[in-house]
Amino acid sequence: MKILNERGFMLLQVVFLAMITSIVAMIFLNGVMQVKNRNATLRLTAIHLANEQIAESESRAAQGILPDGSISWLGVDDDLTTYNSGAKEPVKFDVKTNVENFSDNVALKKITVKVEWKVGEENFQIESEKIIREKILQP
Amino acid sequence: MSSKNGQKGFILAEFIIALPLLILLLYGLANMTLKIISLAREQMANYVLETEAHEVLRRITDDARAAYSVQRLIHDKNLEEVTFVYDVPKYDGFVVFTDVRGRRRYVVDKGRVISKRDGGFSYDIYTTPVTGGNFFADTWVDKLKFSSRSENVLHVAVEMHDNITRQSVKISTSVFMPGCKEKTGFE
Repeated sequence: MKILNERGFMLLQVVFLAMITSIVAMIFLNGVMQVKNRNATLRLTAIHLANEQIAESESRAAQGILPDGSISWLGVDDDLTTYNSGAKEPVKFDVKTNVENFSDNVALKKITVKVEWKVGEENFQIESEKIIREKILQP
Repeated sequence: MSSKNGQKGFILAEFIIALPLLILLLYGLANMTLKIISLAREQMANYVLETEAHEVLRRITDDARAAYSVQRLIHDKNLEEVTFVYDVPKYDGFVVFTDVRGRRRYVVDKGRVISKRDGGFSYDIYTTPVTGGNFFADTWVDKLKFSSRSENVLHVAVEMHDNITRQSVKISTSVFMPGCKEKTGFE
């Protein structure tokens, strides 16, 4: 076999190139890994808050005392603040609820619960709906 | 270093400079690999923690909706247990049960939420852990509390942490129990 007098890269060139590539890769990977999906836990907390508001509304509807229109938070006040984001600063939830008639049946009500929260400068929200039966009080 | 058949190899000086650099590179790579593995484990543990907290609330609220009565028992200021009763006694000389009979009890035992079903004789027959025992996490229940502020509404709060990541999660919710006729142990 004929061996040509070829000149390749020097070992040092290869090592220096590998080092530069590794440093760039480390900086890039470090940045990517620090982005954590903390919002998943906050979304879960918000879904359960919406369920809490719907349960309280159902209870009032069963007693015939659920008003139509916009209603305030009916659950436990402490539940509106959470540290589930992993940050030192708490995240506060804002719950907006609307009750309206559903179809022509006055006993059926549609509850729409919107839970909003803010992380840094970003705003997030979830919306939940439920049709419930209200007890009609006799005059 | 030397030339053989006209080939050129690395010279010794190149090796002497390159070797420490290669060792440094390998150290960096090993470090990076360990970091990736530990971060992946941390993320998995967080996911399990979140899922288990959700599962506790989901199981309790699902069972609560169909309960005929609910009983709360306080063990300490953070740990409480709840029992849902599905029996419907008829006082005509006999006790007649509905199709869904017995009781379902949720209790915290050694940091784990355990669901116990009373089949009529003993709670120990059907015991299933709701949390813990996951290979990817080491969860611990710090708080399980029940309260009732409104008629036929059960408020459930669970707080858990993971021993690997030291992360904790606290989630609360409420459930409406349309068929609930009795509440005991609540203020």
